[in-house]
Amino acid sequence: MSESAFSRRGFLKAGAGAALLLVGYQAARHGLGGDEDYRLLLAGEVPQALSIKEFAVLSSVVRCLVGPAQGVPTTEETRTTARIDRELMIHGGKLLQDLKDSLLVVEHGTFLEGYGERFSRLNAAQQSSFLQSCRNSSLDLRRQVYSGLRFLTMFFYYSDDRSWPLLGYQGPWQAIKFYEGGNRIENLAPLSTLPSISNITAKVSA
Amino acid sequence: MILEGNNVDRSYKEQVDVVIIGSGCGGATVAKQLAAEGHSVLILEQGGYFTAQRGDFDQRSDNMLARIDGGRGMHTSVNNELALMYGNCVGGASVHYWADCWRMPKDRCDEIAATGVTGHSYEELTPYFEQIEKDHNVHFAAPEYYNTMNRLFNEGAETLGWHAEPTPQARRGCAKSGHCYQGCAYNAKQSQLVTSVPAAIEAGARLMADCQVESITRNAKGEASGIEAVFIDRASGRANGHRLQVQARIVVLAAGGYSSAAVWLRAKLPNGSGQVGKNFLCNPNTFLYGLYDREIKLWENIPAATGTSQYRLATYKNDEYVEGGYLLHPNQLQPEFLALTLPGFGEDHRELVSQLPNIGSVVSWIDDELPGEICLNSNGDAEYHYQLRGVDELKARDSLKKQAQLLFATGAKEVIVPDIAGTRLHSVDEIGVFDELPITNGNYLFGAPHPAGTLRMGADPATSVVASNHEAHEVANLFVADPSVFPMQPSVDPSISIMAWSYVAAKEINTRLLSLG
Repeated sequence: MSESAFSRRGFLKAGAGAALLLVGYQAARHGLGGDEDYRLLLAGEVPQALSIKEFAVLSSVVRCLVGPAQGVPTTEETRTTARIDRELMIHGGKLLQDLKDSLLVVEHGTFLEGYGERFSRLNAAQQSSFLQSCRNSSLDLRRQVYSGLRFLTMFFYYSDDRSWPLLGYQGPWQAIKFYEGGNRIENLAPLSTLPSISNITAKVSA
Repeated sequence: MILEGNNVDRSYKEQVDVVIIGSGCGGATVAKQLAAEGHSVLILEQGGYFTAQRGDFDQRSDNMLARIDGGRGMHTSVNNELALMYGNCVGGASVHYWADCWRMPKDRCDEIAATGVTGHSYEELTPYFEQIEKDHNVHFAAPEYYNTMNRLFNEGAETLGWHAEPTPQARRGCAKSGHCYQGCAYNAKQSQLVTSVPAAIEAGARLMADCQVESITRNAKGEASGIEAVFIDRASGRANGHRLQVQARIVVLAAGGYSSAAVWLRAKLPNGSGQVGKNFLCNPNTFLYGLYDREIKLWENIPAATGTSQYRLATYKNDEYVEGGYLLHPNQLQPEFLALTLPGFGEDHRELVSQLPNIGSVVSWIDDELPGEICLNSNGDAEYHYQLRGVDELKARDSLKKQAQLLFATGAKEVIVPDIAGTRLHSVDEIGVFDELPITNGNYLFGAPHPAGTLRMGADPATSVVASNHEAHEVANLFVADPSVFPMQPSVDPSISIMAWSYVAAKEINTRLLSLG
């Protein structure tokens, strides 16, 4: 197939440069935010593949995409962001870079839509509204940011056994076996305490 | 003997008659046949060796994708339009396949013969099909193996006047767990892991797992003479520092439709035709969900005991596409994948997810004709360029209409499209929406389970990569035995077609080895 047979957009690849540049300009104009701003959102996790900022932004995205924890475990309890981070560490390469770029678009793309604040500092309704605008966007890049983040979030949240009662699933029928190349909670370094989500948001607002 | 990467504490040098890269439907079949002929055979598998006996198939999608799936379940095409579905373990993609076992239809064999391919006619393949069906216990599922969606499919087909037929299955003693895609924990699914691989080992072949081939070596005459490889540490996915060098009289490339062309390109083998990596086909899947007032539990029992091939071939009128060009089956997804693929997020998504047991689904495999391409990026990683278009897009749209018809005919009160917008239909009268619905450019994620074509077979070295005896036109003693050689898709699940073609490859290789003395 010739290169011109269809556009080589790629998941945040070709064609994403100009958009990322624009987002980068907004980030520089409004302030990138230092690690101290983001550390509060880590919930005690230590990022492996992502930076502190990226991990924190991803945590906000994950929480928004999964939705309110009513009768189901929180995304902090399922350590969804840390599991994604571990998978990215094993994968590296394009998947990791795409995620990093996606998080930049989400965190600072809000200024292009007039929110006046970074994504991770928006309230839950604003975050949801912004992700909805990505989902409905006419721009391939923004839709792919949404799809890529959503795929990882939903897979790693709903592959936690504790979410299965919500799904009406009574299985599986085999005992779990630890896999050294896996990405489950058992593969993560243990967390001694899990801060509650209300504590985290209170700290950020403060 | 099976050597696993985690047990490798030194580098190895081997000398064998045949080294085979890959242990799936192609590689395992060739290994079994050649080992039985008395040749020394070494199989190399990039992925790990996982077995039911050791409890490896623990039915958790996260663990199982990490263990057995190429790309660990995360690989997509460059444009994010295809979810690449392939194996990376001993037994290859057959470890996660559904065990559907259709012979390549005679009409498709005839079409392939018309391209100049010889030795693969339906009549010539028939004895191999018969042997494969016997070895893999291919049969029609008994009624107790029909899950609710399978039964609804038949009812819907009858209502619509479609011809439904049982799907040939490769199983023995199925436990009805519904975890086929994650690898069978009961050794019931007749994957290569429990059939041809042990048969090859029994006949004297050896296998090294966690072994990634970096290059195919050639002698001064340009003939294939062996391989160089590294062993992989499973925990990190990185090379563990130990290497493998193999000298072989014959090299068989059977790394699968997603990987063989990439191995070829990385090895910088000749590509005078320019066809290596081109002609990439993948049977993209379309699927829809139906929301019912009753429990369906898509994740129970076997995936597709039934289906219809009524629309397998596309029909045309005055050269204009009319309908068809796909298989239509009940769908099966595990709950976590069902949750993942239902559209939306937040509370809307949660509301859908809470109704998961009442969600049914139908799936189509599009018999794609307009190919993409596999190439390497600057890091040497394979990239998959593909976009559904032209007549293939028309087939996909028609398949969605048929799926919606079937779901409504079986009592679905709503049809949910897994597109980015989360489109919903409330009546069959709305299926016209599929004529215009955005399904390309990342608006819809197609499964892509059947890669083929990137080292295609043909008589003319200017337009094809391997000859009808499976040997590379430009590299003597290098044979290819996997779906990469298919000049077009089989139009059905390809597993036993790959095996049957690999019987042909094994016969040709045996002849060559005997002539080499």
